Amino acid sequence: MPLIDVSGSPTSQALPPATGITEANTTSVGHAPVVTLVFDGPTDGKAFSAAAVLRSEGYAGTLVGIGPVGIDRLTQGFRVGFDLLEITDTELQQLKPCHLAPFPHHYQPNPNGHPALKKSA
Amino acid sequence: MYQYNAIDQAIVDARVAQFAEQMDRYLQGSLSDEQFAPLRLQNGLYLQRHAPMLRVAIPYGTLDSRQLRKLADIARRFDRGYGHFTTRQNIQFNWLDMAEVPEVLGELAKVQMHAIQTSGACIRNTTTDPLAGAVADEAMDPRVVCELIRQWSTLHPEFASLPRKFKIAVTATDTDRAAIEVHDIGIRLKRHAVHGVAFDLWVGGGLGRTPVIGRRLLADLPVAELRNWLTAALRVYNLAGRRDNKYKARIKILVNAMGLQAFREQVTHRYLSDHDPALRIQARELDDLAACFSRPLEPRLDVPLPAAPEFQRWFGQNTRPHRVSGYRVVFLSLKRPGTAPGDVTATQMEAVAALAEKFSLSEIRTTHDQNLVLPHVDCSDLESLWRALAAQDLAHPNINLISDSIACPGIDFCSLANAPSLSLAEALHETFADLEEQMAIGPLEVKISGCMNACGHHHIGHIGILGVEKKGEPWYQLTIGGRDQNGVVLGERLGPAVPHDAVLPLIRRVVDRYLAERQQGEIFVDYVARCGIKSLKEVSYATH
Repeated sequence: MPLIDVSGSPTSQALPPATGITEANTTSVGHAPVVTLVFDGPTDGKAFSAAAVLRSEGYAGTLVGIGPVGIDRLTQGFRVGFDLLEITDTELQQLKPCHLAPFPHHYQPNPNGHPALKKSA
Repeated sequence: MYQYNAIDQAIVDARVAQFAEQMDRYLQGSLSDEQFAPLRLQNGLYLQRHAPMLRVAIPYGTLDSRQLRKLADIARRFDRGYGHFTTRQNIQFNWLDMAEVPEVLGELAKVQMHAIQTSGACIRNTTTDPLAGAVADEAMDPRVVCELIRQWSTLHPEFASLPRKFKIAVTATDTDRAAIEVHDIGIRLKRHAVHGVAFDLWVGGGLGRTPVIGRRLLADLPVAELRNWLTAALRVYNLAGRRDNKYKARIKILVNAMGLQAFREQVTHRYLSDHDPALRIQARELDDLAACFSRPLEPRLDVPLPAAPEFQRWFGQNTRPHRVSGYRVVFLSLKRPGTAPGDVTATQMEAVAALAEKFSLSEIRTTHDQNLVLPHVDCSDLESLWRALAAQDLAHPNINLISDSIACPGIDFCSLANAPSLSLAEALHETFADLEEQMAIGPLEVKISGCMNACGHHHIGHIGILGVEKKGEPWYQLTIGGRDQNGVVLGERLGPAVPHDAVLPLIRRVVDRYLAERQQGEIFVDYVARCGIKSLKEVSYATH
């Protein structure tokens, strides 16, 4: 199944074996250039926190999420630090810009250095 | 009150557009029922027994008159002319057309309201003391912290697919009117010699099929670090919480399995390791929010109040002291004979909106007990307000009395329920029809749940009623002695379940025994704490 980046472009990427999420910290992944985390189901969000932890601890390599992420969760995945996320061929055909960036602002800081926390007016 | 800025409004507007697009895909068949379910739930849209139900968020239970008018407008245009206030300070519309829900969300957005995260496995609407900002002994207005949490948790990318739903409550007074000990996370704000205001973090409380009283995880934390601590706790839960069994997925199960000390160590590790300066709350941010909620009022001289017994009864039962002399907090009872607890018609909503404008700085509060509050009423206006409320059937003087029961929608609406709840609430009105008798009984909270999910909070009712299914018929299990304030206590099971028609006779026997054995001035729940339930068991089942 295709992997897409934050712009929605499909990319070919050779993936290493998936990393167990309970070990997903910088000690376990070291300087691996690519780390793959698995979504076990369409409502499983454990990998969102695993990715956030890795980015928080300074992991700078490529983070890949595989499994049933779903196009409505792509924005969450990219915002917590994934570089590439897996979608199905059908989802790729349905993909629109609004699925990748549904919100003009966010309340939370972003580990990739994207939009900052909103300050209350 | 907090008012949206352009960023808040843009986010809510974008959410409406996002859900409309998702609904289009569902109606066109691109999304299956299973794929659509988590998307609609995170916008508060349920499929109930008869029709779709939309749960609208009322952040920390605070509304203004314009918002209440909009809810009335939605009730009239899109529903059957009424709404239902819930036990978590929200409102539900029970009879919507699914295809119209995006339009309803658009209408809500016009008045800075939404249904975001009112359901689903995410951080839900933060609840607090319905008297916030109106009582004297607060460390600070808890709604300031609630609003910070609202912003931080709204569409949080990391925490939108948690193992299970996640509920946070905040209190800022010694008397905990937010029941923080039965929430996934409870925050107790308090005055602090070093930080000015600090907070204690409670964790692992909850009701449902496995009721657990939360425990204090950490104490004396600076408010500035609230978001970093919440992130750490949620992160540990999201990584380690069970996903294999939804009945074992709440944080209370994780904390118990891990042990409080080990959970504390993991949260502290994450806090130290992942600390994000961008999450630190600046003093300016707190000050700006505090200014939004501030209601400076000048003290007033005492005014003579009407001596009419009906007024005095209402005043004594349905009003409370205000932090400013010359003002009162006024409760509007939504527990009247013939009406389901928490139900309000569009006409009544409009009337309350007008009365709030006239008498309470346009502010309305919703309570966990499914009533409304006008928080800032000048005592010289009380008689006029009382008469206006009575004309709307909203001056029933039964706050905290036995007929002021709370109840989930039960099997009449909810597809999860085993048994009716609303009919028992009505039966309480019939059995204890005499208000003088109710007042003689004194404070007695009855909480009714139609199933183990405990939306009616039966575990913490002075008398709790749980609907269970027995050979295809609804039966009811009673618990006695629960309480939700000043040290939460879970009620103790009275005895075997009984059929519907036996519930009120059983409660009558319990109440009569209490009246016979109580000490002077002793309220029901204190009597149970003193005597236990042995005597009540004996009298309850003597004829069975």
